[in-house]
Amino acid sequence: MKTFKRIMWVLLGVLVLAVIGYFIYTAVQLWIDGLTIGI
Amino acid sequence: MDRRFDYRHIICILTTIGFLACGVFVFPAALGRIIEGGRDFGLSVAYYFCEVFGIPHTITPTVNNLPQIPFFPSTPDEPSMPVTPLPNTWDGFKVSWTAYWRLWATMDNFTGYLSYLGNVLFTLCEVLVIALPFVLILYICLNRYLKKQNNDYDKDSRPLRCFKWLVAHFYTPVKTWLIGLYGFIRERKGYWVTWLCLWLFYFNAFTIVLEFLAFYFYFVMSFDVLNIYRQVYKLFLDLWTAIDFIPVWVWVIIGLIVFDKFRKKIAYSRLRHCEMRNRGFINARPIVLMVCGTMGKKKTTAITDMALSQEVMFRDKAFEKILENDLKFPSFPWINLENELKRAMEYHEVYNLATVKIWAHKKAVRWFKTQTREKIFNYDYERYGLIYDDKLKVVDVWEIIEIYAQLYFIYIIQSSLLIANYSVRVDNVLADLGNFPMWNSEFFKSDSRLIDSYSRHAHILDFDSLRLGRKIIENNPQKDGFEFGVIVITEIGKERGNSLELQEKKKKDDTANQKNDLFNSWLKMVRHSATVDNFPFVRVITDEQRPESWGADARDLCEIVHIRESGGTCLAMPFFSLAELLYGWLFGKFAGLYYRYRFVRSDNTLPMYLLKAVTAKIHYYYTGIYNRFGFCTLRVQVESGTQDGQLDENKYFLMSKKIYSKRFSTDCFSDFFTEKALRSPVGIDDLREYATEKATFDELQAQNSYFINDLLNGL
Repeated sequence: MKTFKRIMWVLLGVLVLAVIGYFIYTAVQLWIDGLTIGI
Repeated sequence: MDRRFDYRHIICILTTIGFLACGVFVFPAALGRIIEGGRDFGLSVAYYFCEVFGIPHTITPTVNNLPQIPFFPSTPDEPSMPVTPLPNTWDGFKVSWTAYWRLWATMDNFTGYLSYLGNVLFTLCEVLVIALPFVLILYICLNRYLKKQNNDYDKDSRPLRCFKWLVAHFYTPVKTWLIGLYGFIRERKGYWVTWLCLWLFYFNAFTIVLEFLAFYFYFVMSFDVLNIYRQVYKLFLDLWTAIDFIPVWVWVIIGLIVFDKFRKKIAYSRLRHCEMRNRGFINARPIVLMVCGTMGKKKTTAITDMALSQEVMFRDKAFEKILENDLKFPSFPWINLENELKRAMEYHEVYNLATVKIWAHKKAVRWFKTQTREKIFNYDYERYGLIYDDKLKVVDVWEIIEIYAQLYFIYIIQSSLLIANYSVRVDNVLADLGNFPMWNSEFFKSDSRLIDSYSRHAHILDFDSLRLGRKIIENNPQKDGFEFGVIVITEIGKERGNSLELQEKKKKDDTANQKNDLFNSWLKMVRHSATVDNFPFVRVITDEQRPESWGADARDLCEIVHIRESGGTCLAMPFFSLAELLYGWLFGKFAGLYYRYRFVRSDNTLPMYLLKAVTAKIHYYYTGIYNRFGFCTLRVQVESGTQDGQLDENKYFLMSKKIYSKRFSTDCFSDFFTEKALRSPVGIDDLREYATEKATFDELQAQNSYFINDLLNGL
């Protein structure tokens, strides 16, 4: 049970990081596109 | 004195020159920005004062101007501004903001992100694929070793000898040299402060401070809300130098360090919260407290923890009351009184609360004879008065002096306030610069390597000092020694007994016993000797396995705290699950392998040496975290000593760092049993064994059992 809980916490952490990563990725994409298309 | 020139100065000077060269070639804009910052600050300050004092002026603050980059243009077509992700106008930001969310919600962007994550996973797999052969080699080597049995005690294999030689000749000298260099730089503040300032300058830290102050002075006069975004942009532009220069892997390391600090901060605040809850729990109990529970329920640990908290609370209370009394005569020179009291303590003229009272009384008598300022600690009584009305009663300054002196005496005593029948280590530190001393009662951040240098221990409890009637030693010099403090008695029932056990003892016996020593009377009146400013600075904390083991007359005075359940160790530090999983997996694997290896072989081989070294490091980190941030929750039930009321459910927290850091010995009476065992000529290996699974007549007789003897007598 303890191990299962820990795995769940780790998966939740990975998910949160992935979501944060998506925000950063979008910002970087926008910046790159902006540089390319001149926003 | 050794005046030889240390060659490491050359390294430091060359490093400084290198850093200066970085300023010229890599960060040429930093100088221009700080000049601009200085200009903006100066103009804003001038603008602020002119506006404040209504001086007519023509100052135009430049804090809203965009930075001029480069400040000193060398070529006309040099780019004027670094390209940053943040638009330079509010309108531009609004457009980008809308574009951001539009892009965020597109499927193309999302699939692009998934593909990016796939690439990251692919890179990770590549790393794994590269690492896998090494792991396999290690595994094959270990398996090969496990197939060969030997008894070569502590003999190093040839690869291990080679490895140790390489480490001794390459790694260790480099490591020692680097540590030496680090120590050398740390000792010479000139170098590292210069480097720190240079890099802060290159990363525009000083400019940011100047620009912030410049905008502050400008804003408080102009309330120019519209230009706030411009300042955000300028801040981002200044930070961009560091963001752009520092590589991603360094940012990752910085991020991990910050994250680690963040979770440790949470852990410390959780531990302190638990400590505060414990203090609330202790404060809600009466003066006499008994903790009960079966063996292994952490009774003694709990009472030790309570005693440590109570000691800190007494000092905190004395401190609080000192301030209360100080404010009754705010112009009284309390420092003069404190210094005189400290002197009296040094000469042992003052050594307990009673002598403090006498000391204060003598001073008062002297003053009443001839009233001068010198005789009242240089207090200007003619100007500030001698009485204080608290709206309940009017008190004289000498009454307050007596109370203040007693409180200060309790506060300033440097030895422990614990008096116990087992040893408890205390590590509160009194910081004193010759003025008002301050206690540092931090339980969770102490350095385990230094605790022995400043630790003190609980005083030995002389039970004669708790007896109002007969004493074990009638002329005991310590018989009247107890006044205030925390009395901690483990296994109180064995000391005091109950009515059944004391049936044979008589009140009129010539020697001291539990019926004629008037211990219970002392317990009933204990607060009288320890009350200062209406607060009793005394607490009696005891433990026993069963409440009934202590006689009802005494037990009825206290509250009984039953420890019903002692939980496992939890961690106050969050975000540790991944490390726990990895540790659990690795340690389990290692333990199995290691003991297979130990069973088969006795020599030292390289794979096992490396594996053990790595596991030991991980184990050190893991146990270090648990020892610092671990805590265990006790489920406790509180009931009245008369045992006729309701049981109140509660929790008590035992924090590892506080209570297991060489605090007390769980086998506090073990020396008695060691003495007993030393007298024995036989050990467990010498004891007779049963010959078969059924005891013989002779074997039964060898038990010296009452039951068996009764059976045998009946034959």
